[in-house]
Amino acid sequence: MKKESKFLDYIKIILVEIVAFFLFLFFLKIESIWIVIAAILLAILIYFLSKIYKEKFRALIELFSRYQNFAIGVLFILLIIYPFISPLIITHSTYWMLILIQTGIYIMIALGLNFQLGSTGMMNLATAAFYGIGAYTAGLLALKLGWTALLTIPLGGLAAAFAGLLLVIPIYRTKGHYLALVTLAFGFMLVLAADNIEIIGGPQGLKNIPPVNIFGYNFLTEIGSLHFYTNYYYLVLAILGITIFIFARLFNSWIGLTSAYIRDDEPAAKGCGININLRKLLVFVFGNFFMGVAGAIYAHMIGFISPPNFQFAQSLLIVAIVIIGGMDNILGVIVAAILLVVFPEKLRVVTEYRIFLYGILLVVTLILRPRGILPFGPRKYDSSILKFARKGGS
Amino acid sequence: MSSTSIFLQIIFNGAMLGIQYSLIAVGFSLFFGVLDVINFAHGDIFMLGAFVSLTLINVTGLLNTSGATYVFLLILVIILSMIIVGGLGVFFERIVVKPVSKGPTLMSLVATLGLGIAIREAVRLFYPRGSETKRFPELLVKLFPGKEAIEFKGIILRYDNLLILAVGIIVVILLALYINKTKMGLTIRAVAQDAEAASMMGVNKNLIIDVTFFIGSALAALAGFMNGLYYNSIIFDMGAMAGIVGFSAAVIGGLGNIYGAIVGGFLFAMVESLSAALIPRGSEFMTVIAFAVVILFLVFRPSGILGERAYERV
Repeated sequence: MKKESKFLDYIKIILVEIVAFFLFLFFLKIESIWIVIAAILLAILIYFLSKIYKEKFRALIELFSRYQNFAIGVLFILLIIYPFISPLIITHSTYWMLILIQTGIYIMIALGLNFQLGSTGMMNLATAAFYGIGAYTAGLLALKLGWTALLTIPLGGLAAAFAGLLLVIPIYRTKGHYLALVTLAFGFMLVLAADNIEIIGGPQGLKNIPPVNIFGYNFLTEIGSLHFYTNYYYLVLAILGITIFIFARLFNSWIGLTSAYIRDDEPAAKGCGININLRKLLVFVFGNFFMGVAGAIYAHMIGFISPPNFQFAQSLLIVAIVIIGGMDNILGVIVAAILLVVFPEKLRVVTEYRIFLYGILLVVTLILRPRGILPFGPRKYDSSILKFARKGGS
Repeated sequence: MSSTSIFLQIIFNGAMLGIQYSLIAVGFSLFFGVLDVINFAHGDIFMLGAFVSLTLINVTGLLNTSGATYVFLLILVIILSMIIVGGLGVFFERIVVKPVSKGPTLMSLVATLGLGIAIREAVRLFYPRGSETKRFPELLVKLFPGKEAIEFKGIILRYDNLLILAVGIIVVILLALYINKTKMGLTIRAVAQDAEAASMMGVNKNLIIDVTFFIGSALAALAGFMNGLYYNSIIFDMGAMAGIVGFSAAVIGGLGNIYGAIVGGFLFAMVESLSAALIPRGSEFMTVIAFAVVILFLVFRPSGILGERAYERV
């Protein structure tokens, strides 16, 4: 009996995910603006249905959180077969694949920022600049020295991480709005500097950055009839998987817990003996590392980078992803990234009005849901930890 | 030119920018005072000021008049644009800024950034040929027929620039008097200090917030008008940088402090014009240097020049 219900649960999860997956595919397929609007209405309908059938909806969420690993596994398989299915359904599948890769890159940056802003409460408005440092480092190493992507991608991350060290004193001494301004100014300085330094291309940027080439396998090779972007799709998927794994582990570790303590009440955290300065610095450097890695991948994939790619508007987009995602919520960040990166591409049908609508959507979302789409409540620990605590106490 | 006169010229150019930055920064400080919110759409309110006044200039046919009518219409245009943009500021405050200011601080930051994007794009899309750079007429030259500039200790001071500077300084002084000497100013300060206690004393908090946004937005509109006169061209995205510079100026001075915002605005402008003049290739790097100074300031004086030292209640 019990075994059977478990089996049923698995089937349910698989069904829900497959339905969601195909809904997403069809959403990418549609081109008429009216169907896009219909899709938005459908999403709103689902939202209200979830309010009406609260119990059933909660049971479903319960199901997913109980078999979390299984659900993630199924999703991963669906994402792996995506490149093979998409050309059958979507007309411009190459274009959408590029958009999905970009979304993956943004999720990576947003997770880095989520660790800083969501978990530890450190505002960073220079994310695009750190992303740019990664891209420029990888681009320069590959162009001038001909290094392989196996080296340039991690080194791009390290360069971004070490650039964060330049801000060590401001991080020690400022917070809140003031830290926001320091990072904002830092981002502006880097873009303006990149624009005016000729060695790194000035306003023309870097051209013809070689593609990723790992152990003789050139990423420009096409897989059967699939476009070469598929290679990058899998690369980003793999690195993103590792990134999500690391951040999920960090969230559940004592590092995540103490970070949340620093965010919620700094003086109290200090009183408990947490070395706040050191911790903030580590969080900042660690978050920047992933932004740098994302930038390096981008540089290799697109092959051309220039200062306008890394402007303040990009940082804003990433901050919006983290905040709308609900802060300190990895799943929320992923959902928000899809909403804010993929969705505007759909609005491209109304090209002219795209950014305008984007601004209005941002405002309306925040007025309706001031704590983001998926706000994360207090941490819940399951009974095993409580039991452990009780044992320790007795 | 002697070195002193070069120096004076730099100071004068800095002051021209400084008065504009100050007028924007004052808005940031006022809003932060009453609502504890950083209104990142404020730079775009500044841009709206420039566009609304350009529209009014065309509508009133200001350029075809002369003599006393011209002066009268000019003043009317300035005041009308301040009132319209002030009203728009109150409107945006009611529908966006106040609702989101109740949520977490960072949410309001993003919401106002979104509002700024929407305003900027609305101008680009709905203003006739909004994506192009617009020529802003040299209105003040007509007031000084025959003469354009005077020479003072070897530096050239244009009359129209002098007038802009004088008007700006008078407005700033009037604002300081208003905040410090009138009853309304007193209530604004009371709400800024402790909104709850102020409403218990019978202050209509919502009215005060409206008034503050009206004043702040009207000052930004004036700054936008001055910017148009100074550069003779306006464009829909001029507000993005202006907003960030205004915010920097407000922070250098100490958020919530009006005098601080004014000092911060002038300081930022002086650093810009000094580095443009004194450092080789300075004009390309002047904003980089100004931002570097902002960072240094925050490190050594984290709560601004005139800001109160922040103590945390535990």
